[in-house]
Amino acid sequence: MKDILGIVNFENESARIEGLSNFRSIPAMSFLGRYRVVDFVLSNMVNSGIDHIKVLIKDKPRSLIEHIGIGSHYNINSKSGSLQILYSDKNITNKLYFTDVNLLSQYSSYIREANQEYVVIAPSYMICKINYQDVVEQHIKTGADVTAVYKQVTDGDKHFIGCEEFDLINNRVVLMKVSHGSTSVKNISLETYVMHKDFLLDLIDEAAQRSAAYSIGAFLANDDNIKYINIQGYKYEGYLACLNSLEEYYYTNLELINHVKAKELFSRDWPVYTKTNDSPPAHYTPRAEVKNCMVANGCVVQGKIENCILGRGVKIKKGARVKNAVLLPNTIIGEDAIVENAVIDKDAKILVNKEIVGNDDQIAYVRRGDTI
Amino acid sequence: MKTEMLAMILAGGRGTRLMELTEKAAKPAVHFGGKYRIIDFPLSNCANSKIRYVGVLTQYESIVLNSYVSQSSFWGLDGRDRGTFVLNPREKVTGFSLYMGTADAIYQNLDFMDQYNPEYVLILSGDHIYKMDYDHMLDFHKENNADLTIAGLTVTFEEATRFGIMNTNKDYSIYEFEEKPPVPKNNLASMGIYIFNYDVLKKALTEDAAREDSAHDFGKNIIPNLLNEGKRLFAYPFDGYWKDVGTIDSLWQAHMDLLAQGDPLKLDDENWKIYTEDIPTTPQFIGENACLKGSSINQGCVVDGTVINSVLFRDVVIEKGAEIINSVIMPESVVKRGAKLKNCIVGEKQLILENEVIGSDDKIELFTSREVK
Repeated sequence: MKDILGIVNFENESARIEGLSNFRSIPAMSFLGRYRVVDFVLSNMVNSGIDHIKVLIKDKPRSLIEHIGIGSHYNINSKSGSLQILYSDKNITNKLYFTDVNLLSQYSSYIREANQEYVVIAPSYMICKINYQDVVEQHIKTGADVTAVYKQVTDGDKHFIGCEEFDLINNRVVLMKVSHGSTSVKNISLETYVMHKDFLLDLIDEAAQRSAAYSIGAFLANDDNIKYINIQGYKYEGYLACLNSLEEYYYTNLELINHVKAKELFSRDWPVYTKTNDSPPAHYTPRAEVKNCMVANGCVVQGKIENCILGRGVKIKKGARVKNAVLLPNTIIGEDAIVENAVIDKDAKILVNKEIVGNDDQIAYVRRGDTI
Repeated sequence: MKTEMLAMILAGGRGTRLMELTEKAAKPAVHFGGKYRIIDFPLSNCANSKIRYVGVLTQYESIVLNSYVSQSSFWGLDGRDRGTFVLNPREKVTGFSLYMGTADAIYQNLDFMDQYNPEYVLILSGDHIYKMDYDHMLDFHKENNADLTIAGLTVTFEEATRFGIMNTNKDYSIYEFEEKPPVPKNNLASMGIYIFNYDVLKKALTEDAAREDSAHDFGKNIIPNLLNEGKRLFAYPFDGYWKDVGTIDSLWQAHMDLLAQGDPLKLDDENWKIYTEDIPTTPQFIGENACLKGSSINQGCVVDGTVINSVLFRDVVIEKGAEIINSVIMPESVVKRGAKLKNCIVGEKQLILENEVIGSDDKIELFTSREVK
């Protein structure tokens, strides 16, 4: 097993989860009830035997720092391992220059000093289950400069809009462009790259010199660069979702309620770690009606729920009916209230008899802490 | 930092009446409440009461319990001036001896307690389910200028014959302590929770250790002796939920109590959480054929059958068409299609076969005979 340095990158700049993004960064968002988005990439790294991880933070650091802490809940060795947060307020007001390249070049000494030979860079909003050791193994075998992970999807006309897609010739990436959803079958980039540590350091230096607006992805995609950098594709075949809009966030949550689907992402030998909240098991009262739901601990269900994700500590009161909804932690749905096709943000309260009903084209969203 | 009160938890007993559940782990390690182990209750009470040092005295089948209790971070008892300490019987200059009784167990660890030189020592049992603020009890102890304060629960006169009973004056001072009286004069039962002034405890234990006719037991020896000496003993009345889950019936009943309306233990009280080990699991999936009524279900469960008035621990699988009624199913057990369980406790990692029927209306059934492979 190779000793690898993990870098959790931020999402590309077009990603935005309408509503939720006002309150926290995407990695810090609640996902599938009991997790935060960042738990998946960190667990992938830890399960791949990566014990040295740097997390790049773009903005709104509070929520994310509070959640990941020193990383002991991710099973990172408390002495020989490390979880380092890289955050800077330089360029924070100028979004154009707030790139992974700029952040990494500010902290390049930390990369240089790392003992690991190879680096895995992966964003947290690509939800997948991947063993990075396999990617590094292929990387060494092919002698590539960069190995970029992709998945050939068949629903590219509906999902992954705004993600990067690859054209490959003999497994070499020859074109990287933004996907606009025109065709269904395409190679979607996981924005996950493996390279030698020295290659990364050179790349950062060069990218930073050439343009202050370069990100790693944009630098690699540049027409000239892609000609001389040997970027090999690594074909990933497991579950993939990209949480880059409210629609995708909502769709992905609901899609994974299906236990068969969820098995592509969850298995006993590949645990997804998260921070415990010490809440008691979910409680269903004698009048509860529950069908097709994923429910976190601390919930109390007295009403009817169908096709829902319930975050920690959610309360569904008597007579309430909730369908096709994602309820973030500690929301309260009052007696006889009706919620359908909606995302209800953390700590929000839907009062007695209220109706929050969205539809497939327009998901209803209730803001964090609001009372309606 | 000075240590005002140190806690010592007696966790050495087997709990024979829990049958196979305590074959490989002592009673305090038995699972409870869908998520916890019994000893999480006194340990969380200590943590919430701001007690910083907790010794846990173990003896019977202690591998599971010792490794569990030594993880002080589970309860937030880790840190510079805090800790949980496993106290197994150990070889000493004077030889090796098992703990010969509750008082002897504490006596054998006087050296441990001396390190912290506490003013007060709280002695607890590791096998009771309840929530209590020991700091309030300490206030009561100080207000009464007591030498020993014993927490007391009001029971029926019928139940009183099974407890140590405290006969008290109006101010709750104890004038007589009767161990399992055939004809009780009072119904205030000792909960086995004691606050001692450390100097009084140390002297009493040392004297008791020298007596060959003593059973070295708090209820039988130490407490009556202190009363004879004219020490100030007080009963601290407790009116919350308390349960000794020492039998299969009472363990089952305590789970049914949890499911009753307005959970008497208030497990969801944010200000008095019960802490426990955090084991990574998958989320909880409720399928389209599920029917859940009056039940408590933990993380990692996959339920596609009917679960009524039951408690499911972590990672339990209930397949389509299975029916679970008034039952308790411990971690990682699997109930296959069409199986029917009623009034059962199913142990950890058990397999219930397709269409298997277990349990009846007449008694509580314990199932531990088929492990999941």
